[in-house]
Amino acid sequence: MFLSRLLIAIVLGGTALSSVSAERRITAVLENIDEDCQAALSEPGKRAAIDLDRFRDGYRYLSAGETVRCKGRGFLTVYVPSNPKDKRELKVGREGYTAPTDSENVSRAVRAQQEQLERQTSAALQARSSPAGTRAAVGRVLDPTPDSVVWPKHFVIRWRRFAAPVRLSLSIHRDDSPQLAWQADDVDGQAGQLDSAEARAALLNCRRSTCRNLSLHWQSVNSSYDIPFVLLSETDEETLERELQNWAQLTDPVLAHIGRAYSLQLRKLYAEAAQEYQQALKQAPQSCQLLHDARNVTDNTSDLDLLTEIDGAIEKAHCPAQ
Amino acid sequence: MASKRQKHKPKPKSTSQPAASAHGRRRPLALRIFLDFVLGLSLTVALVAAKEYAQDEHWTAALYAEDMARQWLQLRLSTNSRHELPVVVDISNFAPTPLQPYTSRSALKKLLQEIIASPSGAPRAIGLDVNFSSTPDRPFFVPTEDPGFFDFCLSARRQVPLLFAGVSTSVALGPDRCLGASRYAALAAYIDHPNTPGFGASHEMDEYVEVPHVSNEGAVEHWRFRSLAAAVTQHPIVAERPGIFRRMFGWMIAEHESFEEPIPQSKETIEHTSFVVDFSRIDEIRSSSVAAGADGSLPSPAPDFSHRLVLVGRVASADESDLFPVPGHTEHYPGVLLHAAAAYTLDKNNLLVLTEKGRRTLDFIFWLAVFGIVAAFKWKPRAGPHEPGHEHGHDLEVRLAWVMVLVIIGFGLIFVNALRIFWDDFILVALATLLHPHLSHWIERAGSSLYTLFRPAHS
Repeated sequence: MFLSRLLIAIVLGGTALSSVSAERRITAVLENIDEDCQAALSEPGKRAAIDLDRFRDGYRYLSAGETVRCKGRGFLTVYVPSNPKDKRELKVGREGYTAPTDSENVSRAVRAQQEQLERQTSAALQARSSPAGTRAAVGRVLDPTPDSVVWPKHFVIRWRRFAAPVRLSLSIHRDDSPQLAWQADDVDGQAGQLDSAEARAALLNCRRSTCRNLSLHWQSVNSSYDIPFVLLSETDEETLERELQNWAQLTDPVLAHIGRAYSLQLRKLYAEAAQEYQQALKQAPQSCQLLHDARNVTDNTSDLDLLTEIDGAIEKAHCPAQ
Repeated sequence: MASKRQKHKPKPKSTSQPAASAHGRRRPLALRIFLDFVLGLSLTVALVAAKEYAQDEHWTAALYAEDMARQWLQLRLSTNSRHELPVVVDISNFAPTPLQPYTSRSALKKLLQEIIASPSGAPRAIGLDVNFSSTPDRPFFVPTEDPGFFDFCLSARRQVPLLFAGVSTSVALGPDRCLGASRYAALAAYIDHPNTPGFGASHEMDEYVEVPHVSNEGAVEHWRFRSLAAAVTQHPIVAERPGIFRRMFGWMIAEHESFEEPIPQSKETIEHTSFVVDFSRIDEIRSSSVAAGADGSLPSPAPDFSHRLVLVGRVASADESDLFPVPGHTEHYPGVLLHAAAAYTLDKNNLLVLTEKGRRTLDFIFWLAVFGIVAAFKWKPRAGPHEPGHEHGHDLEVRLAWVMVLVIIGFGLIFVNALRIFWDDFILVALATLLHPHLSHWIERAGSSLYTLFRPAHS
């Protein structure tokens, strides 16, 4: 008898603890509180009610099971999104209103439905408007990545395309000399990249004169900043090329990409490594290992769009967190 | 007068002319006025229908006319406000850099602490115009720092209950996840600004956005998020009781407009409730902004924040993605200034828009005024379309129409300045007023000529 009571107590205690620690789901919003309402809120399982402030608690989110009521003569308005459209805004007086409860068990099909609608809604919002707030300034330049290594032979400057016509001024500065290593003015911002043989030649010249640390100066209409980078040394280049040739001999193309990405990542050539993972993912798009590895590499680049895309793929594939 | 009429007398061109003149005199006056009534009504209906069709179809000319009217109204907005301006705190000194691609949370925290502990007193509300969206705007949400920062914000709400953090497209994830966890949902305020198709700039901003979301049971819910401006002003909770004007004409005017935007490849829609923003004081807001130091400290002496609205965001170093055109101004402004102008508008400086009924009524009233003038001229028996003196009468009608145009422009000014009603149809109404006498004259002449050609032989 004692044992069974103890077991029940443990089970109930465990349930109560889990319900406290778990995030409770929001199912309604307390919109407005009338002047004469004197609103109060009761949490599920608690008898004592909390007095609500008319202004401070406006638009308070209500978790499942929470009850709001007016102690006075006035009314409060509760917004219940799961109700039919004409019944979403409810006027509540002394009778009170309890936010609807629901189960936490989300089926796979519902989760897929949720994700699809979230993506569509997010895309529709992005198409209509732009965030009018502080955002990352680095997002525009994709390659070179700050503090990464640049391979002079394959140097291409890439940035997020501008929607409107914008002219850019790009220059490369040596850390050991005030002289410009290379400069290009009046670059078309809508092109998204600049593949300049002159820039590559300048970097190779620079490397021959033993310079290693440089920075790309980005100047657009309203922003200007420097992206520091390091040149891949001639010795590293030789080793890297040898390694890449060895990886190419693998018969499994996915493994070849993974190997190449490994060698590139080892030398901080993040943008190139991220591209290798993209090639690999084309052949095994649902591989959680590949997705997580791709994410780790891409996290070192400035390509936020690609990072978001990979995150979406990880969620879609229901990959366990690493 | 008689001599003047003689001067304009045209020479008879054919034998049918006297008959036509005789008909002009014989045509009942009531019939002429009725015809004018029908003409005026048709003209107004046609112009309004054409305007609405053109706007729905995004015709360039319609967009241009609408934009021109709005720009002009924004320029003419009175700067006599009843309330003081919001304070903008510029965080350019700790803005994101290529090496740290997000706004420093520690500096933000220090800044908030200083604002709240300001010697002059705590502000009424604080809005952070920083994008804290969880996904898909990574890395604006900083998983290692944001939960701690949001917990601080929740505790800071004991001193400033109206403290909000910006979210963008992550509203699509619903309140449970838009800031990473449901306990932070109350902090979320929407910071997106509508893009501007066509000409000029968007004169409206969202007050609310209602997004669909699939519940855990598979049902579609619609979650409503407030904009940063609506959140810091607690609009409409502290709205004033409507005055006598609003009680009488409330059905004609509205504070905001709602519309449903379809989501591509989905049956669902996003509902936007937008309002017209008063941008007339945006330059003053910018010039009075305060720059925080690199560590988030405020300049000394600390500005007066007591009971004011405070908006925190980048001003001096805002980049291309955070600069927007503003109606009535040529340069582009940082997003935080747009939110500040929007908060200023909602803080008892609302601009009102005409409802569908209100617009129709106003169109009808002005058409009646135009028609009344024309009818007054017609009531006094005067020459028919081909008779001497008719041209002189027409000139007078045209002059009066020009006077009416000036009156309409005056009304546009009174509406926006004194009543704060944003009436952007005034160009169209002015155009209808100008067209009316010309069309009336042309139709009358054409009708008479046709009658002359096809009249029965015995008349």
